[in-house]
Amino acid sequence: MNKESDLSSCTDSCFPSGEGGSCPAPTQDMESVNVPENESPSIEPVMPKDENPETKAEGEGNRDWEDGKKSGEENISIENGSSSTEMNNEVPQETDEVPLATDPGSQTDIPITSVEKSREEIPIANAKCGTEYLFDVDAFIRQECLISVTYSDNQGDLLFYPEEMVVKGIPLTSRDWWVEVELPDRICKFFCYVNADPRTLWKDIPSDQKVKTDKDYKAILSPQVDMVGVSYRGRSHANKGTYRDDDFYIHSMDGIFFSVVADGAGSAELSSTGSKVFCQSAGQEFVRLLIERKKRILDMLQEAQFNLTACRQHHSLIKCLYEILPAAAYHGCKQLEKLAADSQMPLKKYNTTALLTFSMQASEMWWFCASFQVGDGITVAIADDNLYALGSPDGGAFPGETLFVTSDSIFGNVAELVNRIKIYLCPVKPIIISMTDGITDSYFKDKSLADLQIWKQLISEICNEKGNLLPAAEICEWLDYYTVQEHDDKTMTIIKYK
Amino acid sequence: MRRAPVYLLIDTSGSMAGESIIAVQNGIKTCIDTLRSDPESLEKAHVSIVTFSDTASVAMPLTSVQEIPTVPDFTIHGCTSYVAALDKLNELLEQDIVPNRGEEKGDYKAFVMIFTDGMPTDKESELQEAINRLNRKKITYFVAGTTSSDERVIPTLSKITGKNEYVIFLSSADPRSFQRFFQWVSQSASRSIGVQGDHRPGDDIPLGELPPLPNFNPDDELFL
Repeated sequence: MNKESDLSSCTDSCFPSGEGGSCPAPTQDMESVNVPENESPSIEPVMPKDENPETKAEGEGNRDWEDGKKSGEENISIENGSSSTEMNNEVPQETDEVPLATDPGSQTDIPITSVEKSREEIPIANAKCGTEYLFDVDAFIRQECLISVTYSDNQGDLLFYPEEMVVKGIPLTSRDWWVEVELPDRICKFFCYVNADPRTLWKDIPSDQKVKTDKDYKAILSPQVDMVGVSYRGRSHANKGTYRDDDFYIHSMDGIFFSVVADGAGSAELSSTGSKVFCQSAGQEFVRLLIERKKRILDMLQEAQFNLTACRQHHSLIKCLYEILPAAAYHGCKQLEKLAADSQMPLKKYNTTALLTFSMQASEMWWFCASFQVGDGITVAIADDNLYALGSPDGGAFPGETLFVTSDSIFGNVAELVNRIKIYLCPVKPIIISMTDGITDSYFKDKSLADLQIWKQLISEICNEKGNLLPAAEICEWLDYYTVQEHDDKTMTIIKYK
Repeated sequence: MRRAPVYLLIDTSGSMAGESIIAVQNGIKTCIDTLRSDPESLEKAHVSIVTFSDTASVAMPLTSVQEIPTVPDFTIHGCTSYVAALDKLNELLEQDIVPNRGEEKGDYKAFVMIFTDGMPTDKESELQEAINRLNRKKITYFVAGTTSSDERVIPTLSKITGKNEYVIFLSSADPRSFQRFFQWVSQSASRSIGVQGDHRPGDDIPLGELPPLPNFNPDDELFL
């Protein structure tokens, strides 16, 4: 078919270029490029088309009705839809074929010229489904006669607006998109790719819930303290139907509040079991070891007069904590070793990180908390406007690089183990939060974990207006928030004094 | 922005002229479109295209798959220097891939594919040195595709990729095999992002197997 066929009606079809163009908007010529007649043509786009009613009416039965109905529906999303409905009845919807630059209605016209026109292929910025798109093509064509406009498809969601010299719209489907604008001397093809919205592409494939549930939550509520543990499978696992690698354990006994958070290594095949077994076994041992030593710890805190520096230098106190925190973690690892031996698997297949934390009221005026961490994630205590990090994430040069509690080297160095024990004394009731890197990476992105405002924001999102923690199930669902590029499992425990 | 780099090293020597280079170009388009259909790759994958003949040059710098407008046209000429390709790759790995800096998140390790239709025109010793220079610490998988029936090509490419099963022979006569190969390349590149889960610094990432290879045998009835 002849693109030149429209030339007959184009002798004076100049378009103003949007800003101060002097040519009047030529309604008649616009029609030749299928712009509807309209009292305000200057804001009309050039709609996609490849047939007109006369040609289509020949022997096409009831297709007209269908076409009209479909395009009428689609019109809702098109700017000035009401005024262009008439025209849109012409738009055939059932074909995905790329229409050629033809106007069957003027097939009988004799082409004025047969000189081959030069073609320019001009990439324009890619679009994204559901997101408003606007690209200025003014730099490529301006103040020129426009002969015909042809689209890659007739979805009508991305359109060329000759008056404004822009391509705009809100694209609906992912595809290669182009518009060919025929000018007297050349054809300009503007093209781009319409990306899908990544949010719409994620699958949620359930894993075997007998091995591990895709989400988990638990709450321990008491008059003094609310305690919550929540864990949610990340999208990258859900997309493949693989297990949640994170796990947690919370417990309260005798006024002590315990939490264990573990992130099974993404690189280890059995790490979802690794984190689960670790949390349970280390958690139970943690409780046993600490209950036995509770009184001694309280006595020593008093000896140090609740002075944080004095406490940190209190050799017996640190030794006592060493017998609890790393010891409980070591016990968890021993259980994993046993499991590995029984199933004849190397221990590293169960690799996991570990964050063990406990807190108790140490006196009428002081609240004590202590933590031990191997790997990424973080534990913090927040009391009024003070933020204290009870550890720091172990990382490397590349994404995903971290240490595991199950690694050989961890329990070989006493000094390093002692360094990993962090303690804090709060003069007011604190909130203590432990979380895996799934939350630190997504909630903090490139911001510092030492930014108190972000922590306050986070706390406000998981508390009601009275400042009490939301129900565990709600906090668990909250974990499903979306952060571009960050789709790891998310797990968090919260100890909140009331 | 945390980037997952994908490097495509494309042979543009004289012998690639005609159907071969068009098939490769279409293949790259397939590869990019397939990456765009996976949500994680759509958010993270960045593709760079390097062409090599007598020398190597960057036909497309590292660009997010969301932003890639089109596969560039390639100029065909000259001989086939693998050394030029590998040295250029090394230079880009060094220049492009930013590691973590404090709390600032760095890039992922790279996925690399090399495509060639013939034996290198380099001296064997020089090629070996270039292979030794390769910074594999910044690479997860290295795969290769070739249309050469020269029996020396696959062993030579295996030295570069480090693993035999990642060197794929394609029939130059069948554009569908190119489509399948490049689809597999993109699935493998997506996997390269997925496997970079938590691991110890300095440890090799347990890569595991790549997705199953498509069937390239045209005589097989299953080949549609």
